[in-house]
Amino acid sequence: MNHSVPARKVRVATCSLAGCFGCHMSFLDMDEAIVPLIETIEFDRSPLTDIKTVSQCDIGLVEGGLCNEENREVLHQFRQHCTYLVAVGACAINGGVPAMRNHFSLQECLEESYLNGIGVVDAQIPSDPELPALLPKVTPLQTEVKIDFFLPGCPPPAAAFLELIQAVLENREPQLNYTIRRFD
Amino acid sequence: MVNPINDWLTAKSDFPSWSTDLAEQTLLRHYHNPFLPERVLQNLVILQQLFGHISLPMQEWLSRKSGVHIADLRALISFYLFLEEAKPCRYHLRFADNIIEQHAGVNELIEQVKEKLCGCDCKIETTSCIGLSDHPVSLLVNGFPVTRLTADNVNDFCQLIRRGAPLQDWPRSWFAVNNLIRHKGPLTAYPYQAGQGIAQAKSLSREQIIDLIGDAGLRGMGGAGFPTAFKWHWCEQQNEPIKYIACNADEGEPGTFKDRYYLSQQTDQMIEGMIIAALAVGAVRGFIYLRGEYLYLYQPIEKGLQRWREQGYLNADFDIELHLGAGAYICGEESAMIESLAGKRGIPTPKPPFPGEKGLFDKPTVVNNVETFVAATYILQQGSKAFKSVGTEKSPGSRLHSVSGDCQQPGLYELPQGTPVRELLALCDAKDTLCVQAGGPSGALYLPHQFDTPLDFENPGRGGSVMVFNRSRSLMDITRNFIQFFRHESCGFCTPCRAGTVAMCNLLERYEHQPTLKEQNKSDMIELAQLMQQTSHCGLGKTAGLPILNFLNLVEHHE
Amino acid sequence: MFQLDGNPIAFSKGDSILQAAHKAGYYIPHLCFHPDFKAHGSCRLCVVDVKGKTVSACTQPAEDKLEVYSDTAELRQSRLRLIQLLFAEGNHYCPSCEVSGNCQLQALAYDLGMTHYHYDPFSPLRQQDGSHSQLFIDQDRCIQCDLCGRASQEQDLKSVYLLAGRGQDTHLAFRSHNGQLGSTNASMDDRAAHICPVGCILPKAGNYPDIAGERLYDKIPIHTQGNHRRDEGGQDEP
Repeated sequence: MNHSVPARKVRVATCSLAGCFGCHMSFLDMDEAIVPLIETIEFDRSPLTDIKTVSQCDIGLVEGGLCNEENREVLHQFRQHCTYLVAVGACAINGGVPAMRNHFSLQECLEESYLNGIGVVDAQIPSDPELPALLPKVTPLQTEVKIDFFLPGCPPPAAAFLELIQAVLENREPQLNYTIRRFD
Repeated sequence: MVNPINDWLTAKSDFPSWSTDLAEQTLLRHYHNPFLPERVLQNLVILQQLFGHISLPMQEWLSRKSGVHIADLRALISFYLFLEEAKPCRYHLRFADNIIEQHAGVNELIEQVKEKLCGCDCKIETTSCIGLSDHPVSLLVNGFPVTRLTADNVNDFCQLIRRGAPLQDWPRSWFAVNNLIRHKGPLTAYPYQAGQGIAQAKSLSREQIIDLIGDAGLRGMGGAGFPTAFKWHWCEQQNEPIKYIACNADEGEPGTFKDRYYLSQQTDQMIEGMIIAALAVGAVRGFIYLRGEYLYLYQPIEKGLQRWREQGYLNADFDIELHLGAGAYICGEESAMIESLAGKRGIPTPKPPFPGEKGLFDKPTVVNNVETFVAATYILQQGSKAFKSVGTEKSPGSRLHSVSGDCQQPGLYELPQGTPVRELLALCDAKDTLCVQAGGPSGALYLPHQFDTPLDFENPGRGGSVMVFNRSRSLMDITRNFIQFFRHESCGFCTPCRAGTVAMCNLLERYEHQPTLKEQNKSDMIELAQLMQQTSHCGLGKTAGLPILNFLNLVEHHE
Repeated sequence: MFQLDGNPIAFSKGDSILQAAHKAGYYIPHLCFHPDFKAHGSCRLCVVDVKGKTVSACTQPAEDKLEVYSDTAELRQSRLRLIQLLFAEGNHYCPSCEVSGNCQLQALAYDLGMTHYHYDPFSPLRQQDGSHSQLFIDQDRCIQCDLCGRASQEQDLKSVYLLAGRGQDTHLAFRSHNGQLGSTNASMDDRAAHICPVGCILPKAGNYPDIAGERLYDKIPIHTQGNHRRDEGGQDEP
């Protein structure tokens, strides 16, 4: 791949909300392509860096949908700080597997998990104030903020991440060709 | 159609327990041959009204009798709002919740009623418009309209239910529907002579009748404004021995109640018009599709038909059958109405073929609105010149307007076609008007600077209704009510309407509550409205996005 | 002869625009249309421009000298939005779906360049049906195209499937006394059991037969190989 080295490295923040980190794994799954990429990008807040708060970035990659208040807060921070906000993967785009709980009320979900579930000992619904409040429904990112690009897939293939970053470097819209535009 | 007086049509709050004998007797009294498959929908309507619901044993019985699969009966019940499987309550309250009723305080009244009737054997729901916007707040109790419920009389109303007064014993005043015409015109005030139009038609050839209608320039009063003579001519030309006439008495467009007047006060003119149309095209049978909300008009219309039968105008060569709808706005769309008449779910069918070529039971069918038939009678009796002596060149004649909302004199106004909005507002004594919605939610919104627009077929909003809103009203409330109406009434057949009406409601909610995404939500709404307009299967979907376009237009105008 | 995006298309009397185009080997996107059955006209993906009006090609009769436009930027955008509406109104969990990769809804979405739903998901609650010994019904994926209903009625002569309800509650129903598929005479050998363009009507056994990468639409887009199912052998369309 022919990367033109920009004057300044593209700053990328990533996070996983109601997701499984599978999209992050896929991002790292680009094998040797990651080597030239190191020349062109640097990471801000990300599980890869362990930086806890997001600062001004070019790209924000957000995996997972919104299932609790903390997710919303993080998403809004990303929106504020990122020039391009990218919904990464099925959960960020349509709620994905966590959104399967939308078929039940939140109370039903909690009762099933913490009161009536198989093998529950000392049954009680967690109510520690430290825990972020759950949202009544799991929703995709676009219900809350403006999303600039979408990388579909569960997870999106590594090539899709590469194309996205390449497009931003070249100041153009990402073009996901047929083989990397996947919903599964 | 032997006995026009039918038990199932009486208002009641005590429903008999299921009896096959009672069911069979009632249906047999209604039809010579009640168990033809195409009659199942009418049978369900009758069973619903008679027993208050349609239980599994009833479905099993009707399925056995008619040969229609029980799953198809359930499909009908799940489509038509007024058909219900659940055991009935003593009182089933259905409040009309169109925007006029909302402005008259229906939501607050519902809250009060719910509180006062807590623990009573009653069910409280809302429905779209029941054709009584000039009598708000209005509701249906076990199918019959109660009018002008207010904060002052709501206590008395609830008392009746609390003490379990049988519905048939309620004071008649509760059910009073006033059909006073505030401004008369040719159609509503000419010296009508029953049968004279038919005599005139019989002295003419089919072609001459159609030419006369064409010369008068009569156009479809339902709102489409399609030239009536063209419809009749096309049907007449079809080389088919069996043709039908269908009268669309399913005025469901919120705020519209003009046909209620004709159906109750000028029934004979409507029937005569249908007979004239039958003569003009050579039809063998006619149908009146009466909306379920007008159940209380069934008996008067049936009596009217009986009169014409007794005088020999309706006979073995041409008779008219009265059908009841069951709470589905879409059945006002002519192809959906034809499906419903044939006993099916009211799903519009693709056009072409048009009804004039392939309509009811695949036979050529003329479908016209109630007022169109009334006007046809007028033209045959008074001549085409008299008809077009008022109105404009392209929209000759006059028409009845249903006026409701923020004005001193809501009600019925017959005015020449082309009467400007401003003139109507003066007549009904509207003050401080913010805007006017002509032709219901699928019609047009007029702002003060557009009040010189003539109300006629050349301008949008042609369904014969005018809703007036003053400056205290919120456009957002009006728009939300309109698009929720379409979501509720979409038949669910095609993607853009079934899903688009829901997506539109979601987008408007976002627009209202997400100030940071306002621009994006706005452009999404405009795009969706255009998509629905462009790709929907029928008129409902095509117009369901209009309130949004009107709304955004006005918001911009104000900004 | 009529013109489809400038290409001459021959037709027989009674053909719809879509039928004629299909026979001539031209692809107009569609989901509810199938050449073996009566047209339905519900999905609206086959919208084309004719005489300044947008109509569904599957119900619009072909006429001589008609100029039909299908592959325009505006129609592509409309189709994209329509398919996004279909995704938003159901519950489509592609990652775990048995027919992912072989699904016509998904394939057409790929082809139309869809990356996301655009509209907020409706997350409807829909009734599932596992009562049949060999078939499973997952209504979350149903797009109300009635292909099963038509196949069952027109070819199997059984009329097992029908659409019921209204508006957003429109759903697939089954002609049995208790309303369950298991109480009908539906069989795996029915054409209707092998017509669903999505993963709503599924065999209970033998799912996920192909590995990712070797499924019907993994490499070849739907506009090239047409709407078909892997169990149909792909012979019904160009």
